Amino acid sequence: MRASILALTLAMSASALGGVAQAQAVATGAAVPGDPWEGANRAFYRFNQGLDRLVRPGVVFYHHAVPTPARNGVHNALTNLTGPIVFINDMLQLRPKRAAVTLGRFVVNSTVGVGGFGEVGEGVGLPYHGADFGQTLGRYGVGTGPYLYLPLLGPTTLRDIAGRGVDTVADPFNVVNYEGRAALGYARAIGGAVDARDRVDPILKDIDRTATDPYVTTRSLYLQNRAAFVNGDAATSDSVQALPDFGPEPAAQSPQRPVPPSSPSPQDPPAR
Amino acid sequence: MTFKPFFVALALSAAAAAPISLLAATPAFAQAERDASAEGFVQTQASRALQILSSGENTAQKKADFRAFVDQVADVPRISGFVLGKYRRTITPGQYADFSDAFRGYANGVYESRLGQYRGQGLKVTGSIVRKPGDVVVSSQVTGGGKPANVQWRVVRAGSGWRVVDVNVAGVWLALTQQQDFVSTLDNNRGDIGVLIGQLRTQTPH
Repeated sequence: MRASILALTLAMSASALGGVAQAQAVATGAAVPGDPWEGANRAFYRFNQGLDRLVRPGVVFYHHAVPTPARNGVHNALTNLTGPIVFINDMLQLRPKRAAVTLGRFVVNSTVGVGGFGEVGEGVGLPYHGADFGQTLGRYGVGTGPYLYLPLLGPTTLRDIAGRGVDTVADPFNVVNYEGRAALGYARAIGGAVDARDRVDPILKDIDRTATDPYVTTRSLYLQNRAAFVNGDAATSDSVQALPDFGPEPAAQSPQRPVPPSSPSPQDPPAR
Repeated sequence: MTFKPFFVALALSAAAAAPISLLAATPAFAQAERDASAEGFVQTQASRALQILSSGENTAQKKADFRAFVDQVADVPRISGFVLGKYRRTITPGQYADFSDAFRGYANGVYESRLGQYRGQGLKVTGSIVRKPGDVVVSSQVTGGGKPANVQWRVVRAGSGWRVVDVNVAGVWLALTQQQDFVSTLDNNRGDIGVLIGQLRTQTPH
């Protein structure tokens, strides 16, 4: 039953999503796919904002009451628990070296690092990198699909939420039967939510301070950041060519400088 | 055993997608080309920015120095036009002048806050890609504060020199994000530039 749900999710991701996303990427020409459900997304955004006003004081208390080394330990342990699923995705992406790093750091952090609370891997040349099934799909050419803003979960896309579902049901910590599985699951869910909200606090404050439309800025940050996560954050010819033109400097604004010879051209088509 | 269909489906989707991504990637490599002059500009000026921000002088002096630096190195007029997107063509010269003034104050604060996180660190240019003549993305690495951070600078030719028009940190282009933000605010206020100007004047980015 579980396998058939997985296969269905995959088939949906690979075919339907790919087509939708590609059409949208062509339409916009930038890293912004369509947001066809913007009305519902904005409603959920407002819902989360309201909820956040209730939750944030608790998170701020956690930040100030728990010493930094202990908070880092919690974060390390939660990150370490993602090791198996990162490893699986590294392998699915045919990146054996990264998979070996993930396996190595999972072993040293779980043992020498006492259940992952200590970050030992970084110090022995095994730095952390993330990987998830949304990224795996993206690396195989599957587009993002429509943007989604979900209650509690926040910004995502159809591809990434499908990927998240696959990661959850494929995660050995959720699949294998062992004593205390349910307890670990709850601890991970609650600890993960508090840790994630705590770590994202500076970014949310920055959005509050600088955005004139925080919903759109959140969408833009999420989509650009995820695109870099899928394609790597180094500039490539593809990513550079997909950027929009800047156009000439408005002559009236500074007449002392000549207009550059390159006149504005219609926005270049996206690389794919 | 349970995972068999999972891998079959993945193999199928991978087999379908791989040739497409290969085709898409092939012509790209042929266009990759570096620009030493743009790289030199970023190496000098970005290092200068980090130096100004890490100076021990009082905040007001530092702010003034940084603002003078932004005027000299960034093409703020061109950025002002870009961030308005489609509305650049529809507003009057008077409205544009008001917007430019509000944007300049807002942008200075944003740049100071974004680059301020790297103060005291070193910057090394690692390469560049010419998008088209006079439009180059320069890659750099900022080191000295834990994990090295990749920062990209989009520079365009202006007169005889180069000017920065956009900066990318963690995959996010600043001016591109601002454009999406501002255009949405204008869309939701029937294109009323006064609303946007009012918001920019009350934002406190730092």
